[in-house]
Amino acid sequence: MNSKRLYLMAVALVVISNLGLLGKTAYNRAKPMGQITLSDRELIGQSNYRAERTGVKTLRLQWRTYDPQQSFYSRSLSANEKLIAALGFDEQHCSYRHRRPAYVLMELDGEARQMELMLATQRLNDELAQADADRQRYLQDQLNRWQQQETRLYAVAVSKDSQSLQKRVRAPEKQFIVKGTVSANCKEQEVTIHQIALERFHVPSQWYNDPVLQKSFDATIMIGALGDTWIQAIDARD
Amino acid sequence: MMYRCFYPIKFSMDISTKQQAQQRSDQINSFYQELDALQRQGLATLSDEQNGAIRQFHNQLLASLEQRFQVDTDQHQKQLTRGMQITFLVAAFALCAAVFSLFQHFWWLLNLPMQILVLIAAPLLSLATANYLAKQHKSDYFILLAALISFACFVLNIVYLGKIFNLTPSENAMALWAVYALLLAYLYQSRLLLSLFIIGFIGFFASKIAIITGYDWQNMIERPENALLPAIAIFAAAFWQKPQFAHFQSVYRGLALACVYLCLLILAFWGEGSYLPWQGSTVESFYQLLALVISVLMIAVGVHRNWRETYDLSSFFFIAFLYIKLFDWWWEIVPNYAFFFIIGLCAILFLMVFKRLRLKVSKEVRHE
Repeated sequence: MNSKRLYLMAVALVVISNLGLLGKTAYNRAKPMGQITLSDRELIGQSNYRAERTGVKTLRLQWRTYDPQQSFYSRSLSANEKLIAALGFDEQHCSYRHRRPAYVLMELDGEARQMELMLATQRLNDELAQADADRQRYLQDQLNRWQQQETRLYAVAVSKDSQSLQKRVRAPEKQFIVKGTVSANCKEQEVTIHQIALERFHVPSQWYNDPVLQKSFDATIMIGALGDTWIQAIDARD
Repeated sequence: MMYRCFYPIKFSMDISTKQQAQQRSDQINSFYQELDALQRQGLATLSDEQNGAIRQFHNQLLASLEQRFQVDTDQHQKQLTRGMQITFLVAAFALCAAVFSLFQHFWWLLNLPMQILVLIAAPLLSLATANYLAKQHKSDYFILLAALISFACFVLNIVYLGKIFNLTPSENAMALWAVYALLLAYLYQSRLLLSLFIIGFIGFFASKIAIITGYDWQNMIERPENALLPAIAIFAAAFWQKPQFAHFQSVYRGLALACVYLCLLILAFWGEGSYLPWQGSTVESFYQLLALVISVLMIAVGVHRNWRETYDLSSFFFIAFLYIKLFDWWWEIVPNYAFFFIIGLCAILFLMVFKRLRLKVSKEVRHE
């Protein structure tokens, strides 16, 4: 193969790759499948230092799963043997290290959050009655954190296929399905969600230096035809 | 890349690559060294006319080779070339890092259309620069620098487009980068770019195998066996190189073997990472045996076929693996001095084996 042909192939590869990516983006955004509004509680901005270093601003998604022990970094869901087997785990591969792809149903300010909030309120109120002043202040801060600062976005279910999760979607403006990776613990009968595909959102250039990102805001997230998302708007919240 | 010689010299062989030109130059130098030795012993005599004609021919030939291919015509030049190669690597990495940093630093100043334009233009412009330098017959190093920057820009192109539009990361990006590296490697005869292609190729197919077996592609390293099949394919690709790319064979074989040995090493100590439906300890024993057998076999193949990289890598892996196993077995059991004494004895044993092997090979060569 002569050098001219190789050169033209290299040029064509660059051009076709970019056209393909831009075409995929256009198709994804042409017919959005859903829309959800997340606040600064669910979307944490990166530090200014990192933004200046990378030139790219992203918002990181904060989410959790319902945990009766109420740890702030809960990522596990209870799962029966049938679900664990359906996700592709057997006895030999039931460990934190073995991860499989799965679909995750996310829910904003839904039943899972209400239950956890109720539990937190009850526990803290019970303790408040017997606590001294310092402890009371601490417990009140904890309660405020749960009510006003903690993310309202919960992962509520996992499945090998998205269709079975689709049947559980009753409020599309508050629920969405996303790809993720999970591991299983056969002994504890639970599944841990390590990562979901929407961990980061790129901030469009018109909001790079907008002070709204430093205060309370609501971001409208669109979910495209191919499942890729984007930030449609960022508005200050009063 | 095909270079045309504009000097009215009839070459005794068709020289179309730098490697062929360097071999020819080395051949000429060896000829004069041997001729001097024979003349001093009175075994070969050339008349003044013959001597003059041969020297004139060789001088013209060497000047032509130096002009067209920048070959080294003596030992001093070779030493300088080695220094230039190291400097080139440093320059390549530094410039690629500079390109990355430049993007990051000024990215936020551009609006979306400008960002897309810069991303697409960067690899094309640097590729055009490499092509221009090649047509002007500039030094290989500058051409390769431009080609490497083009590759780095293409990687940035795909990564940043994915970030801007929030696209889900895909293993297909590795395929694009691998193909681009392959095209540039054959266009500019670059072993460094070929290495990048091989890494991308193995990564892409390992991730595809991971997906087929039900894993997430980003966790492909959880199953080192994912990389074995693509590595074997790369090793096989070494046999299908045209003569003008013969110098690529060692890169294909070397990197493929390095990948295979790395997988075997991991599985020899981490049986849980295998697809095999056996107990972890059984898998580890199996891969330990396989590692030893394959490395010994490849040492023999490397010696027989005169594949230096195969022989060197396999010897290194065999010895390293054996020492790791010895450490695993005996470090806790025997005193330190006894352990190192055993290591020393093993090393002496290997020396004796290699010496016998070397003697056998030189006898075979003399019989031929």
